[in-house]
Amino acid sequence: MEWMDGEWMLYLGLGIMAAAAAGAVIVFVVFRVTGRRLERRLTEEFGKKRH
Amino acid sequence: MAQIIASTYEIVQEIGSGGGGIVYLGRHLRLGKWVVLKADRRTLAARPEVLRREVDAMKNLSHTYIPQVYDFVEEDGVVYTVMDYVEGESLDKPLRRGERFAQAQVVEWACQLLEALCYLHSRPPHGILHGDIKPANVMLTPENDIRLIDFNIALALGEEGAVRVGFSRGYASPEHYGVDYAAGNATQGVNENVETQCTDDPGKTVLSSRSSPSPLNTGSSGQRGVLLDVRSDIYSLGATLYHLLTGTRPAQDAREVVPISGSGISPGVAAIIQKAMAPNPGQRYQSAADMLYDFEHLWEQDPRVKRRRRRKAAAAAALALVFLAGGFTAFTGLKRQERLQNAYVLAEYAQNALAEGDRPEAVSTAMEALTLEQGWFDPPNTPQAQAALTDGLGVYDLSDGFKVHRLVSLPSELLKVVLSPQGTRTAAVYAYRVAILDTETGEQLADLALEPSALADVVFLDEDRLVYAGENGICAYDAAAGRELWSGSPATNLVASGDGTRVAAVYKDAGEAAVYDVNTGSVVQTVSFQGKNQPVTVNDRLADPEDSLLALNQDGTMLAVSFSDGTLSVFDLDNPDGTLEILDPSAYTRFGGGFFGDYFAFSAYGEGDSLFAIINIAEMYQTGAFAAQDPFLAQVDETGIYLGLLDTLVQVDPETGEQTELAFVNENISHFCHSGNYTLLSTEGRAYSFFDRGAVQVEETQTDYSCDFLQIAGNYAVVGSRDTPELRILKLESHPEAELFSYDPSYAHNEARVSADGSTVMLFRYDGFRLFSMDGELLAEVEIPQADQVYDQQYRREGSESYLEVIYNDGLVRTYSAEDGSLRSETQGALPDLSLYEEFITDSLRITAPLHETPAAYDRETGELIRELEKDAYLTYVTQVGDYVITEYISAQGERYGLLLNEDCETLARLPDLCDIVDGKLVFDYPSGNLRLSRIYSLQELMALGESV
Repeated sequence: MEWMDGEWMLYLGLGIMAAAAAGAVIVFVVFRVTGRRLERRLTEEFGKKRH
Repeated sequence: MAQIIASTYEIVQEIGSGGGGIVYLGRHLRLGKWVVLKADRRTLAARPEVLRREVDAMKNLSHTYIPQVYDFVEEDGVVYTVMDYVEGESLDKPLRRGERFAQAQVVEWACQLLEALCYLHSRPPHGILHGDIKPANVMLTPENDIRLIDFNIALALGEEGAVRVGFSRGYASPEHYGVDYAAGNATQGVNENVETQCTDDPGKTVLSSRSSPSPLNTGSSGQRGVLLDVRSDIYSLGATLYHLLTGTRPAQDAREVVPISGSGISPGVAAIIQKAMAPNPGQRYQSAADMLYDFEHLWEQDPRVKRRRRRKAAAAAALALVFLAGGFTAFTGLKRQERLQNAYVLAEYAQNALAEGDRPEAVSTAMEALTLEQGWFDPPNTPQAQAALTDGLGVYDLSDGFKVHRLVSLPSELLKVVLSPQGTRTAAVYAYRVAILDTETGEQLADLALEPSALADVVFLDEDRLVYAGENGICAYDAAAGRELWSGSPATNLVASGDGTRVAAVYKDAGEAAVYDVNTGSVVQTVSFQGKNQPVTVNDRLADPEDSLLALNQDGTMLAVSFSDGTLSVFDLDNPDGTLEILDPSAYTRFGGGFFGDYFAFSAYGEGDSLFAIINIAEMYQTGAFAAQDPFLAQVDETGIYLGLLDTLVQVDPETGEQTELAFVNENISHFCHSGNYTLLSTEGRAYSFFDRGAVQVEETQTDYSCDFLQIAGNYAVVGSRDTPELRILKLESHPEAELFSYDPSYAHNEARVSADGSTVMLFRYDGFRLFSMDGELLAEVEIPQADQVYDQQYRREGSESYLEVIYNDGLVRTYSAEDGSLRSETQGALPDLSLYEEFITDSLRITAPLHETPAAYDRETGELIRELEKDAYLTYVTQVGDYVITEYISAQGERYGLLLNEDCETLARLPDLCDIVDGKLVFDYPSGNLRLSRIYSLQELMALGESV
């Protein structure tokens, strides 16, 4: 293998971390959007949130 | 005319009436503020203290959702309670109109009502119950808030006494009816003196008592009455909310209330109301605060919110886990890379240490780069480290000869090195001190101070005893005992007799020599030089001690001395008059030589003239002499007379003058030492070489320094230089246990092969071969015809049969049996490919060997290039042994060697002199005429060997 052993693990690990970070951003956006939608529904049903 | 109450309030109009009395809208005469005046039906004739307590309780009430009570006045015997006028309408009115309210709005009102109830229920000393919560008692303001009105103080005070309360059917809790569901079954409370009366409001029942002191009446039957408490208010509130949400008044009997359902009503809200309206008070909310809590946390308790929270948590946990996993992977990769780099560096250090001659350091450094138990952070062992360990251990070097043993560092550069007779002790002179070392271990046994002169000498008497020119005089020392034996007069130049019984000493340019008895240290004789002296030069610290000759014969009876005037004399210590003048005054300045039995041989050089002569001292005649322009190098001792000139080293027979070549090199010899079966010499080109008795060079090593000091004794040799404080110690190794076959090394051949059945050995070259049995018997010697037309030779093994295949340029193929050397076949084949391109196939590799290109290994399945193999060498054979591949080469210098490769074609070991592979074992062919056999060592075996070093 041209790659030194351990190098691919380092890049793989960094890639996984980057993917996790990207995933976190996506999940954050999705939850934000769905959260607002749910907030609207709950406000319609129960009025403003008290706590 | 408007009615004025207490001169303060003007009654404007009647706005309602109920069980507690008539309610008027009024106006504060002075402030102009609208108020509500509630005329209490009870008159002052009723117990006034009851009214007073009511007033006291009510006047302190202050809450957003409860109308403020301002005053309590009396007019014409009627008690009026003056309170806030709440604009708006009670909720029963829109309900009657058929209006429905949004759930969100109802929840908002519920929270407000519950806040009011929390306030009331917490009033000291015992809390205040409303007692009659219903839509009619909830005012809706223009701001869309509610106010809770018309609550009954007396109930909550737990007043013993007559109370007059009303409750509304559908909204009243079962306790209002005297029903107790607490035990599970309905229990009718005994209220013997309770009468019920219907009022105009069909939904309302007036509960009144006459003389009974309390709704609680135990009676003789043991039953008790039903108390109202905060849970009754909660029931009523629940019923009110039920009506607001559904538009339907709940059933009077709590058990018959239809659970809320339908679109627009959330299960969470329905559940709260259902709980509030539980028939059994013990199953309702136990406080308004509890019910308020549930309403305020509807969001959090909603299944959708919970589900979202769970998903959020799961996503966060999963992403965190993935991130951590990635982090751990990256960290592991980083650590592995770090350790891998470290392993590469250590492997290189190991090779450097080996090149410098420090074998133990090479092995230990290589061991650091390897590990058998691989943890998380350990990368696979590198082939470089394995190769370094293999080289350090020398497991695949089965040749006999002196091999690098260890490197010893001294405090400063060397001035002289002397080995004991068997080589087990080394005396290394540096900076006017001498270190006595154990040659095997390198351990320093002693460090002795010398006479501060470059002429200061050291001589060994035996393995442990030595005599040296100490700073206070000649000194004898026992290295094993670690103590001085005797001492004498100042001395610099020393020489011991061959038998080790006498030592002759000269101090610088003194005109005499003292001869000591080594056992006693006494001077047995003083030899006068008769006015002459040895050369010292102006500063003896820079003098070269090798320029003078001082020698004793075997028994110490003859002393040879060279002098500064170029003369050379041999003194007969038994006969002072028997001095032999070898040389008259001359221009010679450099002398060497000594005694060999009855002979004295010497070399002399000066002003471009060099002389070497041998003299029979016993019979006083010269037996031989040589002259040259270049200086001779001479070593004369009890083993013989050895002479070197330019690039040749010979042993000279003192009687016949016959010369036996010991070594021949391509450069001028600068120093040499001969002992036993080996000659060690150094050349002007910074290299040292070993030659065996047959004058065959068995080892050559390049160095970074001039090899000024060479010594061989016993199984040890040392190499040192004036340029470095490091002393290289070599040890004689032999491997008879690996011997497979031995032959006359004078037979030149290119290859050696063992037959498949292991019964014969064939040594062949392009023009012929010799076939031997394994016990050394020559079975056949064959000349290959038309040798100049031979294209290629291949030794083949097919099953148990082996033969030599000779391919000619015209396609003719002859095969010779490896059993008896006979011609077994002769066939005409196709013309061979003159490009000499070859290809080798293993289980997973295809290795190409073009004639003028670097051989390369390809993946056999994918064709992908794995690695280029050895440059500047011709690949001859490829053999697969298990997981290993062994490639055999001929270097540009004609040396045969092999490389042990792993699956990735990385080099695990170099295999010098490899000639064959039989049954997975390696066969080495050494110039000394030996075939030796070795197995392939696993890494575990190598590391076990490394541990033992």
